[in-house]
Amino acid sequence: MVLEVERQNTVNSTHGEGHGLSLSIPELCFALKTKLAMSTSAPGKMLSIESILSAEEDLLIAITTLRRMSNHHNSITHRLPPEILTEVASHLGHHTSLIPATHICHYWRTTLLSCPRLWSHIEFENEERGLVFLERTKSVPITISLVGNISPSWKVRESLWTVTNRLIALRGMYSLFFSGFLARPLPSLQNLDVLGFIGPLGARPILTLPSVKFLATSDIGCPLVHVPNLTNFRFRLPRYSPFPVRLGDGLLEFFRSCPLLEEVFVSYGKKGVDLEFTTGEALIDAVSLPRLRSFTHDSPVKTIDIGLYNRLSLPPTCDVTFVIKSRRWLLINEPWTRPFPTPGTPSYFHERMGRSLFFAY
Amino acid sequence: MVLLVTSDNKNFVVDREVADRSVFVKNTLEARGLSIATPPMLNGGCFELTSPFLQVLEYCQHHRGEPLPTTDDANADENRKRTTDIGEWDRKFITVDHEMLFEIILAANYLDIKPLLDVGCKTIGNMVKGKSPEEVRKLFDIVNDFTPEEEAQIKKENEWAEDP
Repeated sequence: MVLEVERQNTVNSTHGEGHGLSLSIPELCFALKTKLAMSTSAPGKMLSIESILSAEEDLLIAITTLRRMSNHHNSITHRLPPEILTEVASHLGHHTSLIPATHICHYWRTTLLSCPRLWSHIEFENEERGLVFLERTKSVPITISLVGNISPSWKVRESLWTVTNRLIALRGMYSLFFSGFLARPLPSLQNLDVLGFIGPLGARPILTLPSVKFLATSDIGCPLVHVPNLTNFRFRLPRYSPFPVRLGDGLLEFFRSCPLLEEVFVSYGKKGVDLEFTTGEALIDAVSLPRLRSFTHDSPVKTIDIGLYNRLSLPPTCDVTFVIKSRRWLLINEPWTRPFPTPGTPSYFHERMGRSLFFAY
Repeated sequence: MVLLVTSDNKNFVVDREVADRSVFVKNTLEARGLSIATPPMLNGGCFELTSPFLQVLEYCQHHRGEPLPTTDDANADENRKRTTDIGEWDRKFITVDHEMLFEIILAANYLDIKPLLDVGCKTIGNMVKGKSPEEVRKLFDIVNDFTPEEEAQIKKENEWAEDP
């Protein structure tokens, strides 16, 4: 074959050879002419199907070459070196923009496909896409979402088991698979986000995840995990839980096991259902969180008290925020006996607690 | 004060604080103990320095004194990339024609002005986001130059590309 195309999947390291083909235009023309002349050189000789197909293939290659040269010389985006084009792509975010960007032209495609970190946020809602993304990540750290896929196929499971050492963030609905996956060694996992309500509390294994620093969950009544180095905790109980949970003691027990906590965000709903303690606040030693910088309680409904907050011992520098959506709640609940602050007022000092409480509403 | 000489021999005298927005200039001055840095031409001379350099200077003057981004905070870098927000002044500043936008990006890259490079890349990212490949080609004068093999691969990818 006279014409050759570098059908490589990687970008040329030297910017300026972006069309990725090996022949110049005159060379291409000469090669095509020669090939056709050789096919028809004998008098009366008919062109064979093979030679026509071969010439067609050469022509397609020639057209591709010309188009790549055109892009190289005419398109403004081809002036960007691969590392900047990659930087542009890193701002595209979701796969719905990232994948089409690889369908623009050869230069964009080879550049983006050769950057593993662009593909490192992998959602397995569509398993085929997830597996392609996983393959493109080569050996870089990855973030995986199993939301919407509580029971992945064996192909996906086997792929996931091979990448446990570079998994830095995991998000998913709690399931039998999810629980089993967490039980494997995950030495790099820093960020764990468990969605979904997992039903009545029962005997569940307590897994130790020493590398996790950020945990978001919606059920901690009976601690699912032991995360001794946790610094950031987000707890969101669905407002209308299908099962009554008594999570007060569980939360306290959990906080006791996380002395390094710096930020806590809790969001839960019903007094006597979601949040209940077996002992009064005066009867137990407050849980000490000496490093806490921020405590936020989102959306306490009008009937709920602040029992959890009263059972914690926080440093005086810790910001406390109650995100309140009901003015009435504030007026009828002890210990808020002062007038409700003007909307927009950033803070409200309560004498009994001796600290500034920030209200957002 | 620092004297900056562009490749087309235009002189610019700027405050050290302004010049130091460029890590390249800052490092050059510190390493050589000189007051002159000469940003060379990029891409074999197609880079018309004076015009984008004026824009870059305007950017550096506006942002003088602001803390420079550190390279050791991976999380901050990741968060920065996840957001497409651009400040109001920066948005107005970067509202230029395509030619100038790309020249500014190349200049910011060469002069190592990360926040400006970031603004430029976000701007292009925002232009591309939500557009079909054909629309992006039209926007940037790109022609479809895929081989039949690549086309086949792309067709296959399109089967799952648009799933949520």
